[in-house]
Amino acid sequence: MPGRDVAVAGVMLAFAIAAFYESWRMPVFAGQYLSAPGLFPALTAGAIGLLALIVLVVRVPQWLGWRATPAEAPEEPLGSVAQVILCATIVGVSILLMRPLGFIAAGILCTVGLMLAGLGRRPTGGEGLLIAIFGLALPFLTHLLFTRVFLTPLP
Amino acid sequence: MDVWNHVAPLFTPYFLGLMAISTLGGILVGMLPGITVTMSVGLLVGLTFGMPALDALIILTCVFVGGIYGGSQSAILINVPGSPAAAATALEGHEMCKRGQAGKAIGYSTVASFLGTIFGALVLFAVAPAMAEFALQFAAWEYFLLALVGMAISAALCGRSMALGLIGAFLGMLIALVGMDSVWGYQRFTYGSTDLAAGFSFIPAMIGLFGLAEVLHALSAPKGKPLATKITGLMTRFGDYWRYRMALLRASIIGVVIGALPGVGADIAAWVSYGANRQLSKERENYGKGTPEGVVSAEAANNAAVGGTYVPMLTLGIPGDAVTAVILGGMVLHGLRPGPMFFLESPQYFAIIPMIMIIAAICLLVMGLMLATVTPRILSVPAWILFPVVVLLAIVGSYAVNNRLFDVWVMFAFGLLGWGMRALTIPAPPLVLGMILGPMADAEFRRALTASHGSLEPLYTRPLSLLLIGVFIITILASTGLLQKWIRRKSASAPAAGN
Repeated sequence: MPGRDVAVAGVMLAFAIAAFYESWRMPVFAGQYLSAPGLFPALTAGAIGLLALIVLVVRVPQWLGWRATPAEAPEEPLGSVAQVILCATIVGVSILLMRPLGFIAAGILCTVGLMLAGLGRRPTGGEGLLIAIFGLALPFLTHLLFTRVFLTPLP
Repeated sequence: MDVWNHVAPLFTPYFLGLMAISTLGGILVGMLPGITVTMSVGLLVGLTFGMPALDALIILTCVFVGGIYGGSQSAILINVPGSPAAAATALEGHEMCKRGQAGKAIGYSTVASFLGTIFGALVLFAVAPAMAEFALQFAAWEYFLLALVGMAISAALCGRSMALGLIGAFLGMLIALVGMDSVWGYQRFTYGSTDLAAGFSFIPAMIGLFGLAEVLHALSAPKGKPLATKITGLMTRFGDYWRYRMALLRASIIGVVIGALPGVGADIAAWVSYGANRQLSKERENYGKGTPEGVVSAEAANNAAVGGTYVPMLTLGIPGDAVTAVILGGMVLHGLRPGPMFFLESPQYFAIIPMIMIIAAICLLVMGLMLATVTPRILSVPAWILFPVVVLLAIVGSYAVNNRLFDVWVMFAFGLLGWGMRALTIPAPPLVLGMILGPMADAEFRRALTASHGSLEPLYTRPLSLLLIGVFIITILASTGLLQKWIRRKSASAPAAGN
């Protein structure tokens, strides 16, 4: 856990420095420093940087083993990271294809892809049939419902 | 306020039917592990966008009430809470299930949730108007401080580290500042993108943060199977509840109070109530072995918190938890503006919302008990069938808010952010609160500074500001352990001084 916190704090410190720099570069209109658009973002970025520094000061000695790490509650199991990357890729590609192919085609890809990824093994005959029916019907019915009833102009 | 005139339109077959169906839907989504109440409400905000404001408010509130309760059934039967608010219920409820008392545990959780919801609704009805009048005294500095206090309380109670929670909250603030500045119209952090000029839409961000992130987590994690396949003995005698009357009362009070703290919510309320009742119980030795008192403590508190979360949302525009943050976003989409002026502009909602909660509680009692017999079958629906539906609705829901593909990408990006935060055990509620409070804090801070010509004097000369600064300091000291150390040192030195 200290290792993860150090990594998070490091990333947030770099982010805070970048955000502070960007806020600093924002213009001041009519000499009104107190209402300048960059004032509040700069303070917020400063607060993030300060908090990240505090986390680093506390956690780095624990991470390096110089100071004992206090007992912490057990972490919730995360599951398979590869599975998460696969599911995220399926969703991302489906969104990417929504404009050129339309919602129904992208929806079929998304539904079938996620069902297979979630199943995590080769489907049996019955499961394959269920995936095929579900994968075709769900995007079609969703498109019908939203374009006809809710009047949403889906691609 | 003419209460009856305001609530009378609710007693039509259409609205009563809508409340019954929404509560049932809430129970079902709350029951299914991985489909959280925040996710469902976020999806529904997108889907109810075209409806009248009252219809949308009824659906969102009833799903909230039903969903918080529904989580207890899966917590009892498979030891996997359907919603985070039911995590404390699993400790005792699942032990009862293992002893063959699943029906009894569900019966206790249903009645406790019903009573907790009614208590929360009555407190909301009684307290919110007075709170709204009090909020009218707030000036710019107080609003800015209120945002800071809310974020500090949320960070202190929601995560394992206050610093990480606060980082999340300030990150949320920065995210909310992307887009056009409210004072000068300057585009901040947009880098020439026209899509970013209006900032990140809140609803797609919430759908991603709580919907897609949850799906990514759930699809990769194994799930339990129901222990009990047949549920019997749901009805318990009145005497059984009378025995736990003090636990019920304590849980309801704790639930409302914790619910009213900005950005904290029902799950923390359930844990605090469970812990407090365990300490004060006459049956302390039965805790951990499956005592109905534990189930009652957690369930009454998490449902009472629903009413509590609406108090700061309606009166100050500060959500009590992530779900009310999403509902707040939905209300704004429908042209309603919760905040200090809301009581003057739309007083009817201060009677309508508690009444919706009371009717939802009645639906919850009837449907919860009826549904319990088929719960094991519902819980056996595999995640790989369920979650593609959620993802498709998340895509459509994000798109429907502004009819923009960019919002779907926002949902996707926040989904990845939410999963990453979960992986790093950084709590999401402070980030949500930061996103809600960011624009308000920015505008009020600059307004206050301009009005006082850069002087910080009003911060320490106005009693309300001083009170808020005091709460902020105490929150920081208490969550970092410094306050406890100081109290211990004081109490250790007091007897020594006496001698």
